[in-house]
Amino acid sequence: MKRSIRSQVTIYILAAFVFVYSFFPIYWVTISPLRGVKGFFEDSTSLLPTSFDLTFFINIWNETNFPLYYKNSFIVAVATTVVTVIFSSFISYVLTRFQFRGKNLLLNGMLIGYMLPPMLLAIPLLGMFISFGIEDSLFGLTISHIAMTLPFGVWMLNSFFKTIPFELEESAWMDGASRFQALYRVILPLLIPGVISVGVFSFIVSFTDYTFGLMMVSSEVNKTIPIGLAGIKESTSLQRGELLAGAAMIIVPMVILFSFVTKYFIKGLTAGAVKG
Amino acid sequence: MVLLFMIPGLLIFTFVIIIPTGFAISYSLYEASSFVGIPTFVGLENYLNLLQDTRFWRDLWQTLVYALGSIFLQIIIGIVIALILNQQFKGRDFIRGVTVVPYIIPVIVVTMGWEWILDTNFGIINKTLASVGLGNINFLSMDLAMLTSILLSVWTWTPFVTLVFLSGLQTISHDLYESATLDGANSWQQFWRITIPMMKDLLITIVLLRGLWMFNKFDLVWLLTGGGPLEKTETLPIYIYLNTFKLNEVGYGATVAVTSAVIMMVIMYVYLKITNYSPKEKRMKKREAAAKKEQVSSPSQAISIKGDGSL
Repeated sequence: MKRSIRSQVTIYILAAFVFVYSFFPIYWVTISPLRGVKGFFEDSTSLLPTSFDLTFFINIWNETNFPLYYKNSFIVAVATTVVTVIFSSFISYVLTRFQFRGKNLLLNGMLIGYMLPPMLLAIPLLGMFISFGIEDSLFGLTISHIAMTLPFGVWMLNSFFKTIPFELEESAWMDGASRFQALYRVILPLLIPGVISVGVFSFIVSFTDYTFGLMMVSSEVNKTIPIGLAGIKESTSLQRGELLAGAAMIIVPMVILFSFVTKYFIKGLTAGAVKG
Repeated sequence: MVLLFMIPGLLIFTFVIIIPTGFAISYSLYEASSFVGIPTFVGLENYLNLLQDTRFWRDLWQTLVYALGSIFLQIIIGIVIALILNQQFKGRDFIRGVTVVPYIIPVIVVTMGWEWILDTNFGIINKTLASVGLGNINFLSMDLAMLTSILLSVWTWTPFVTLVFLSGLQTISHDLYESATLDGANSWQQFWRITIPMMKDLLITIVLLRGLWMFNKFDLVWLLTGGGPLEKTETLPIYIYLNTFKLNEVGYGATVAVTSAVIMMVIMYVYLKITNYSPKEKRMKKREAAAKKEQVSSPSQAISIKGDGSL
């Protein structure tokens, strides 16, 4: 069934429109600060890059704690991801492979946990952190991020694990493999896409989080990128151009890295959204 | 031995979800000006105060406007983009990847970028408008701040709707559309008679999740407007934050948080009743469908099985 040329053209025009709608702001944030001090306001309507001036980028990198924020964000995001991936895999494995009392209660608890307002969790968490003496620390911030990612991870992996037939594991046992061997050799390879999805999702949630960071962290040395950049914006010493350069330095690496794992992210997002 | 696997995970879960929820409820019964001071037990006084707090009720209204407005537009735009991306064209996978980008970038970048685009004096939109003789629009003024917050939220969170809807679309069999075409149904009719009914369950889930998230959304509005101008865009999460961290009313902040969570759950319950969402019925339908050996499987079921390998 061949479509007419006209409808083909229409589709390409619509697709181009979707592309511009989604990508223009990203593009604009990236090229505007490259115009440097002189061109920033002068050329602010020309759609193409007009110059390649890194002054703003160098300024924000050298004059603020931007590199430190970057490092903190990475530490927190990696820790959150590792913990979420490991524990959500364990919990989901047990939830899908064994029958026990209170199983559904647990699963629904996870769903409710996934839906609780961040504010509702953040206030008491901060109270608890203060009594443990871990307030205003990267450790505490990581724990609060896990409060967001763990329920999602369990929920997502649960729907994912269900799709792997139990018989596969059983037949491995028949062939003399122990439970751990069966898990390691047979099941794990099948789980990898789901686990990567949870990992990518956790990393992005943690790396981009603003709400918890704002409440959990107050000292300069512990700020993550979103908090730090918002803080720089409050202080008046730096200009528009520098702020946008900071924003560009966050999204350009993110978009490039993301392009390698888009598939997994989409998979995780759509699987988690669907009650499995 | 089985539960051994779960113990560490469950401990974390208890520590980060269950205990805090309990604490939040107990905080709401105290008057506390900070996290470190000694709180005074006041029973339900905070809740009684809340009933008469006009700021709370106004913020609840503004939260509903913000949440409903942004969900509505997200659903419409998300479905339209999903339908476009479901067509055959070159570079489709690339465009699909690009549409996700607004969803993954930090909200601070979204607000900063758009503030620059919408800037009253130097933003590209206002400069372009000025060149055709239109005046400078302040997009964060009293009248427009809420609309701008809604539209930016739509831009940021629509990809979720797009992707989930798209993954559902891919589970609908082509035969259905082909036979409808043979029967003379145009694409508009096909959309309403085939696509929407097939996607009903999935749509209910999408609206539910987006609803929850938009109702609780704090970061975008806070970073864009700080709740202003003149509290015109102050939503409940912002009010909770202000009470807890700026107005030194930790107990009252918890009261607002608990109340807003309860309100949200009531809304969700009513929503699920209205939409007649019943998992049991769904399961029966699935069984019937399987018995008839229909090739068309229910979208929500198929997604969890097939994933979205083609995305």
